[in-house]
Amino acid sequence: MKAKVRALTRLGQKEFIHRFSSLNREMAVWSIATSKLRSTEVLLAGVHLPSKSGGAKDTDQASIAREVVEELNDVEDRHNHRSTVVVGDFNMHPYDAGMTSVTSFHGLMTKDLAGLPDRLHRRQPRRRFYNPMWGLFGDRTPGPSGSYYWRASVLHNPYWGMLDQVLLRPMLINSLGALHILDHDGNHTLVGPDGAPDKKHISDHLPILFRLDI
Amino acid sequence: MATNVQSFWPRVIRPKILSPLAILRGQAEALATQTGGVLLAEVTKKDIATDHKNRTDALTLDIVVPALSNYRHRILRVVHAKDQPYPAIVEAEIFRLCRKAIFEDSGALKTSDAENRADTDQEFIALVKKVLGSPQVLSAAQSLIARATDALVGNAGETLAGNVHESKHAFSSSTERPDIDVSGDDDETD
Repeated sequence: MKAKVRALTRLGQKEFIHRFSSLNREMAVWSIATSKLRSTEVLLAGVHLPSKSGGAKDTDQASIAREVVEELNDVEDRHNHRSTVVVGDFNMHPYDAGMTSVTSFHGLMTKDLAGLPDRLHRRQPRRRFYNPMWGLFGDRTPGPSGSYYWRASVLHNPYWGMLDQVLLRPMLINSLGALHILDHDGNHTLVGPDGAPDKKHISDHLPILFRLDI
Repeated sequence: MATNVQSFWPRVIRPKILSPLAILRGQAEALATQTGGVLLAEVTKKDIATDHKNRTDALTLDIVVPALSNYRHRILRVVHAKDQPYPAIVEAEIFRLCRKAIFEDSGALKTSDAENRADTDQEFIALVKKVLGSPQVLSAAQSLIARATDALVGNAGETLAGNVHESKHAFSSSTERPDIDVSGDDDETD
């Protein structure tokens, strides 16, 4: 059985604690608590959700996203806070229904939208995420135009995609520092001559780097 | 005048029917007993709104490991219409390969003959048995018991030899050679 999510940390076992594995192991949640943190504890969720290339349709992805979010909400409720970061390969773009829908991740493109109170939908409050990845699309920002490049001769192809993302709960928005899509690992380039991810070197996805000042 | 008409009602219609909640609770108790409390299991029930007319109950079964800071591993999820325990749809890793979406876009339950659907308590018991006996759950339970045992032995060792723990701690906090701990599921990564 292959693990879908793993974490590497310099923190000790008592500071970085594995709290939860979701159904199908598509999400793992850790709590981070050290004396160096300003907040008492932060929850870090890593995800690797099913891909369209694996057969999932938009509706399947939205359905799975809804289940994963429910599980994450339960973890937050058990820990009695919402200092939560979700990072990983969502296999959806920031504009896909599973990322934006009020019943799924509810990831919004601006701090103002994400900072609003929970949205009431069918008499239930729905939590919001801030999705800063929207700001990294295209060539008006430094770095690659997305984290994934799709080579296909189809009529509708935006080419660059953003399958790898980080989402923050509103209370962590102001803690977000640097956010980059990496095209170099410090020693080697991760992209080919066309600037797209070099599949032969590590992955067909580019990694993202973010810094939280917490 | 008495009539002697044969019953056409299926045999599964009988005086005592167990609900999915009762069946899962029974399995939760069984796990704690069988592992001597090394592994516990928790069943939760949640009312999820699908639309104004239809409400759904979602049940989850988690393995909980007290020795690993109450780490939870979700084993299965069951959904059924509120006040109508059957049909019940069981979501679990073993069904993933042939996963059928259990919700339409509207969120309403599909009425399909999916292999993870139970129309009776006997069918539900069979599905739960299939999930709990699956390689995915078996390897997870084995791994968790092994890790819990290591943790319990480690804690006992640290209590008996506190200086060993201190030296380990000093090493792990060294800036010259920071330890990189790998944390995640036990199996190989992609």
